Amino acid sequence: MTAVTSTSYLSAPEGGWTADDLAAFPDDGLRYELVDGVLLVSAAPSEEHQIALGNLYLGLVAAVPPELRVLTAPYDVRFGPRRQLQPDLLVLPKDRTAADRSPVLVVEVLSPSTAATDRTLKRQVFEQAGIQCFWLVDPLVPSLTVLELRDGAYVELTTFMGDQAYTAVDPFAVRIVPARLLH
Amino acid sequence: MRAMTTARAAIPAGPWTVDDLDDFPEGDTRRYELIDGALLVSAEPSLQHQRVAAALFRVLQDAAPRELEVFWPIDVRLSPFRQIAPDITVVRRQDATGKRLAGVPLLVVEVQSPSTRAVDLTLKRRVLQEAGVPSYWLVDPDSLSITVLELQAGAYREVAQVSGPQVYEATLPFDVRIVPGELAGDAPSG
Repeated sequence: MTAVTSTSYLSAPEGGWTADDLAAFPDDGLRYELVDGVLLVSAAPSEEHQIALGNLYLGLVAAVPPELRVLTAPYDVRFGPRRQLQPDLLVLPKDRTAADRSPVLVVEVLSPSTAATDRTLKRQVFEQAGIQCFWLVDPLVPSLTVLELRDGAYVELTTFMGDQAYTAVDPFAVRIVPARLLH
Repeated sequence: MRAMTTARAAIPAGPWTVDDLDDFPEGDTRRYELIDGALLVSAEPSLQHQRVAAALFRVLQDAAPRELEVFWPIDVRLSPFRQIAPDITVVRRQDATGKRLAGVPLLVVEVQSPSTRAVDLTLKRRVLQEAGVPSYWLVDPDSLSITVLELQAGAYREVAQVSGPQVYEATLPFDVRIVPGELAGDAPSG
């Protein structure tokens, strides 16, 4: 590895980082996220990751109702003054003036470098933020795991594998076949 | 002059391996950890965090049997892509003869900060469980409480939760008597 990253910005200010500090970080292809002041720095995703994310995006955009919008990373979602993540994909209200513009769905496409964080830490952040639907796509299986918020906690509803189709109702009607996400 | 070099320090571009962490700047208060090639960077801990960590370290060190060793933060490599720096690590002395720790620690203690609580409770727990670390203690330095997790059939189970003047008679990784309320010394427990 010859490329280097200057780390002067990695010196936390007094009291630790806030989400505002992340705006001053370099645009260097790394993903900077913050959970309560702990900085998560991850590298650019793999080809499989991007194929699955791209195909899922196309599937969702084709079915999304007019009041909602589908976005992909990099897009900062702030969950508090010290919590900011970049979900791989999210669905949120289109109306920018809405009082609550929280995502109604977040999707993380697993990669070897993010799977543990996606399944534990990020799951808890999304759960505490009250995001109704959380999907985990594993492009190497391929599979889609669907979690929904019930009484404030995520319940893992089902994992759809390969050619098994998921006919979603929430956040909108759409049919997802994990194997097709890799085409 | 270390201070001069670290001010202009640079790190290799990611994704990183544990070997890359060797090239990271030393001598600052940042704590670099690696989970599957992604970096976790934590800020400087509070005085209360350090006070409680030091007190627990002394209690453990005084009670440790000869064949075990108690460490202040060291780099613990759990895989080529996973390296953590726990507040306290208890290891077999035979695993600590080289430059780096060999083998899996017997106990990892994380003293929680408001900033690390979520990471400690979720991601670290998963990583330590997968590495087969038999005991994981989570210490809350503000409420002066300790949650004890032990590996049973490959998964952590909470076996004790003690706080304040309550006494915890640990048997793993060795016999030791801990009173969380005494870990703050005479300082205000905040």
